[in-house]
Amino acid sequence: MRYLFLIFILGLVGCGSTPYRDDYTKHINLISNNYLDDDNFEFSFTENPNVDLRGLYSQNNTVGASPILYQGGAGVAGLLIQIGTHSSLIQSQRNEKLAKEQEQANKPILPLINLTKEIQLIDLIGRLSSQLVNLENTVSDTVKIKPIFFSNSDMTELSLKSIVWLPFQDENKQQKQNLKYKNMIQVYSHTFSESQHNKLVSGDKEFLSEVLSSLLVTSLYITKNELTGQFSKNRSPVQTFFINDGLDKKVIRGSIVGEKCGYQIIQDIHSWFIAYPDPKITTDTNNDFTAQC
Amino acid sequence: MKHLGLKFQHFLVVGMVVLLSACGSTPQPTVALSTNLFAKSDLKIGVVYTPPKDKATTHIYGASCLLCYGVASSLTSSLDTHLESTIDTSELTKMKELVLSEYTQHSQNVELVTLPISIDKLKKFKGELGFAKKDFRELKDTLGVDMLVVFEVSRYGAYRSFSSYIPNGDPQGHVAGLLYSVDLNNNSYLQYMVIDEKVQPSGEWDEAPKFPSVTTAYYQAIENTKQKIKDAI
Repeated sequence: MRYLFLIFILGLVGCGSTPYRDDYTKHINLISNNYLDDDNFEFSFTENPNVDLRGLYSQNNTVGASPILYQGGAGVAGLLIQIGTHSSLIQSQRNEKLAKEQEQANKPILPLINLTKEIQLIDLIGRLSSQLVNLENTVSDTVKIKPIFFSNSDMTELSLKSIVWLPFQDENKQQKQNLKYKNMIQVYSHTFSESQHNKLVSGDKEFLSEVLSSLLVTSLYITKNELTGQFSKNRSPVQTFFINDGLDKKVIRGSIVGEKCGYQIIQDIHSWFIAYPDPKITTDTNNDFTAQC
Repeated sequence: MKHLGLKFQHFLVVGMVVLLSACGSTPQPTVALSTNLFAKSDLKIGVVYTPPKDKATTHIYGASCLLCYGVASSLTSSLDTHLESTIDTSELTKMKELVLSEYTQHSQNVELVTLPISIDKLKKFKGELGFAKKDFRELKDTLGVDMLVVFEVSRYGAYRSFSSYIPNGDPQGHVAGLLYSVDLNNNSYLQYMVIDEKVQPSGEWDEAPKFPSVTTAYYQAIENTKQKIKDAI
């Protein structure tokens, strides 16, 4: 009976959790003031050397009510098993809903996804390639980066979510926490002009690479500044910012920590960094993806 | 004893009738505000704001038995503590000011008013759909206005749907209430809009103690509601 109760509690805790998504992370920061050395900053991409581009999808995983008739004659043990089954059923529906959302969102941008199959991450980092380290040659202070690009269904805006992390050194393996830093860096492009949109739709690989490169290089700039302690500690109070993420007008609660190349860099209440084109700067200034800042 | 049994039967019948009539009533549909109303330059508009009675919390739906509700409450208790301590009514006040400023764009005679009695205590009004359920007409002389705009926030914080013991999804940022205006000459609705905004948090919700995803979703719900108010007025 004790085991059944344990299963029951675990089931309820489990079903209360959000389905796993690889484009999400919780902020971890155990580096305190032990920042990385600016001159020796190195990074490495994860196993996949190719560009991972996906359609922007709705993250609403709430499913409709699924009433179930619990059999009263099954006793307490039977009731717990039935609740466990009900829980698994709902959790599976939630996972399935998210997977379908992603599948649907990928369909309209298939031409772009096909185009990215010919682009590797290493092609996008320009002069930062000197700081790139192969995965097998990484050391403890090598920052691991997993970039995931997104496009809205109209292919008028691209964005990037980069998961960045630093593992603990080997001697600290016994620690419960095996990471000393983990965070998410998001970078949004401005909305493309009509001619830029036409370039993308007509399969201009060079232009797509320029946009992806601009997003990735900005995220690397933010990663480096954060891990080398460059961002200002005297931040403005938390306020509401608005960004258009390609699906709708999205609210961000956070503080501005810096500005760069026409971007506002905000640290939100998750501690994620979000770079968004500064609304005060005109689109003409922001339109050039080839600019190396 | 027989007399008591008869009384109980009457009570049961009346109860059933009341229950069935409630089930049969059609909910008031949305009434869009007609800007023609503001053609009258002397139209006087009063705006009243009814704040929520409770602090920000997680509103649980679908946990249909007492034990289910207990389980549901325990699953959201730490989120409730966070919402109660960090979400204040400042954004709701801003929404009230937005309602006021949006009406001010249509008419110069708009003022924030305080009702002499609460809306619940007004007399019932037996009208069809399109008419308020309470009789607001008696307020015309007291307040000196022709049209009363009521902005009522009933729930704010988070919303979580359950199927008995099991959550159907994550807690969502939530704001709910009503925005309606009543013609104080005939008690008809000049505008009626149900506010029921729910926003899915972006990513994990269960990140105690600050719950950043649910907190952001709440502010997103607030901004979505503000946009709907702007569109409606």
